[in-house]
Amino acid sequence: MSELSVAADDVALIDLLDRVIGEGVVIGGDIVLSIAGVDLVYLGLRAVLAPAHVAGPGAIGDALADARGDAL
Amino acid sequence: MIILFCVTWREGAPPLEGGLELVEEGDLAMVVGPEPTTTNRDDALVFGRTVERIAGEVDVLPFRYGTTAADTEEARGLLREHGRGWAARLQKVEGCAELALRASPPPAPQERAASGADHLNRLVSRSRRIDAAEGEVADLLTGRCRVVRRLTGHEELRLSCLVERPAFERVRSVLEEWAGRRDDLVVSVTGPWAPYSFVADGEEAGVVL
Repeated sequence: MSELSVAADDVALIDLLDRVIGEGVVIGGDIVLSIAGVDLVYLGLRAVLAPAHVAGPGAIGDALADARGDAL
Repeated sequence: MIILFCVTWREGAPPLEGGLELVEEGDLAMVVGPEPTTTNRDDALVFGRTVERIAGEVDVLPFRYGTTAADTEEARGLLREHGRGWAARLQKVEGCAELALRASPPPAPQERAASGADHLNRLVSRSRRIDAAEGEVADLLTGRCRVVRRLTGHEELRLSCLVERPAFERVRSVLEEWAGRRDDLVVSVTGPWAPYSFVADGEEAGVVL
């Protein structure tokens, strides 16, 4: 539709990441989500880690760019 | 450390591979695997695709990425502690998958607003189009979904729909046909996903259409 249109596969990728990171069962309130010793809550790249609807406008593009990269 | 993927029913749990392991307790089972040694997006995607593969075979409650336990004994203890609640949630999502819908007006033109009023008018117009879209979609989804959640706090319409699997493609078609008639909106429909949006505390806040 527009020059900023996102390919369907990319949208699906973002939707999957949104769910993996921002939804799902959370055990208790004191459990810190972490991988490889890195606390996911405190990583600075919210647009990357947070779901798009939490991170706000622009997050989709950022997330997409990072989805094509390697590191969080 | 192990990473927790999802909870499912013990009976009928699918065969696992790739280092995944099944931890069983009572009527439930938990799929666990080695914790990734790195923190990057690919790991998160591998996690998501693993859950999707399992969810394609059986009902699951997916864990949020990053949920870990010290070992399988601790995982079994979690099943004992939370089993009753998780079993109830599994029943709520039985036979269902999640469909995701996004709809928003195309990005605004980059030229500056002529005035403050012009800027506000643009925002109001955009908001009205999103509200109108929500009304139309709500009509379309009535009776077709078990639960619909609207995700708030962003400048687009985002819905998560819990849909019974046999009806999934029909619901998708209905929404895609609607999207085809709305050339003033950018619409995406994705899924089926594991029911991520319907397994956490508070999912009852979703609107049943």
